[in-house]
Amino acid sequence: MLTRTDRWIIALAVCGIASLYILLWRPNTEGRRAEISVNGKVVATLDLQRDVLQKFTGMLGESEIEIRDRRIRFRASPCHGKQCIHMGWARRGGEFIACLPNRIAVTIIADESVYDAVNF
Amino acid sequence: MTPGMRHPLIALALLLLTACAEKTHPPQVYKYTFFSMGTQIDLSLFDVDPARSEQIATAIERDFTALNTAWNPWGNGDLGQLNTALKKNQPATVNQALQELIENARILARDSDGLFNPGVGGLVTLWGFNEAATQMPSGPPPTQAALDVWLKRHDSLANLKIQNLTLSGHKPGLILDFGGYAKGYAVDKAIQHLTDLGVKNAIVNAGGDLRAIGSKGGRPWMIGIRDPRGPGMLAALPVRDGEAVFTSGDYERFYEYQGHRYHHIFDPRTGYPTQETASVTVVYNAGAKADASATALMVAGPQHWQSTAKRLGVRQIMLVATDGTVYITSALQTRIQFEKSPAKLIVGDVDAH
Repeated sequence: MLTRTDRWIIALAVCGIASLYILLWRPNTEGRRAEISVNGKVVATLDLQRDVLQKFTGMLGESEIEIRDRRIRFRASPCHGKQCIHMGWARRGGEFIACLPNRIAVTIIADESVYDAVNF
Repeated sequence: MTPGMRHPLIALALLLLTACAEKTHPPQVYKYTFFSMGTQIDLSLFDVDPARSEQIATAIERDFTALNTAWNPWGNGDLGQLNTALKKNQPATVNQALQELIENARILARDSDGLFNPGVGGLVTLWGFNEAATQMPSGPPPTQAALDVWLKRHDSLANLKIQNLTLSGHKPGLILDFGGYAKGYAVDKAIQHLTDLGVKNAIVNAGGDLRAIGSKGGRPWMIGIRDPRGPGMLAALPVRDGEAVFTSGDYERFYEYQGHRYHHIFDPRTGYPTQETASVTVVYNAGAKADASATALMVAGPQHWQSTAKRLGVRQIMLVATDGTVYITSALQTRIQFEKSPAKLIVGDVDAH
């Protein structure tokens, strides 16, 4: 026969397991790092926890990449269409933004990727 | 606490301890990146011996490099030489690979009622999109008189005959451009080569157009589909073994002149870039057909995409109109996961047309 205390203990234990599951077992898809590649080769790995503004030189010239609030984006680029800038911020594992005319690409690395590839 | 309760509580405590156990590592995916065909090619290999993966990736890179040279309409490779011969009205010969490319494209052109037309090379040149991706045209657009001259030629593959690897039946000056198809064909070739090499789980992603085989440790490869009109993803799609996901859009290559945007996908009936459609995504079990279909459906637009898709035999389609309306087939809607709510969602089946 369960007492009221037994029920409380069981309820707390179930809540504890659920919390630990969320904290420890749920894949963390928030980006930790961003790999910057130029012409298909990784030239830098940036920590998404540190805000930074950095320039990378591609086929057309310098693209400016910004990290702010654990997100990353193309802030400026010498390409014609500025599609890379319109792609906006990326922050989740597997997200990919690129200035293809300038041959500069950014891939977000996380414990677990939301996307294995991006179609556009 | 009653004595009978002790065992369940011990079990719960053990479960808690299990929850604290070290997380298992996610499956390893080997990634390889290179530039070819004017875009970035990403290769993802799962469950492949790391020592072999480099060798496999190098083989695929070689394939793309060879195809890029062979199929550049304005280069010195097989297709470039063919176009030069056509331009000079000289005897035009092809090799087996080019013959296969032309014959397969001809079927897709026929099935799309000419909306996918590899004979648009002259039109692409008129608009200035024949240059490399790094050299975008800046306008002005061609004159109507120049477009009329091209339209009256009725350039297409329809009258082209290939006998003993020699072309005939074409008008002098025909320029072949497989831009709306060659990438898909190359992705198919790469997937075939990977399969021949014993790779069972992989993605070949050519600048956002891709095909996947197998899975990632038993769970499907997950593909993000970019929003054509805003930052981030419009949707996510778990892909099945062998499926290709190809998108054509008006945002990929374009220029603006006096407030108008002119992009690189042309309606062969008007000579102008397509209108009303921002992007079309086609999911199909072959890259070449998905690629050509996406191009044809861009031209068909929101009014006629279903009838064109029916003729082409593709059933998993999402069309994003320039006004933000998303048209989707129920076959795709049941498996796609929208990450943004479309302004308006219209589900329409291909078979209804």
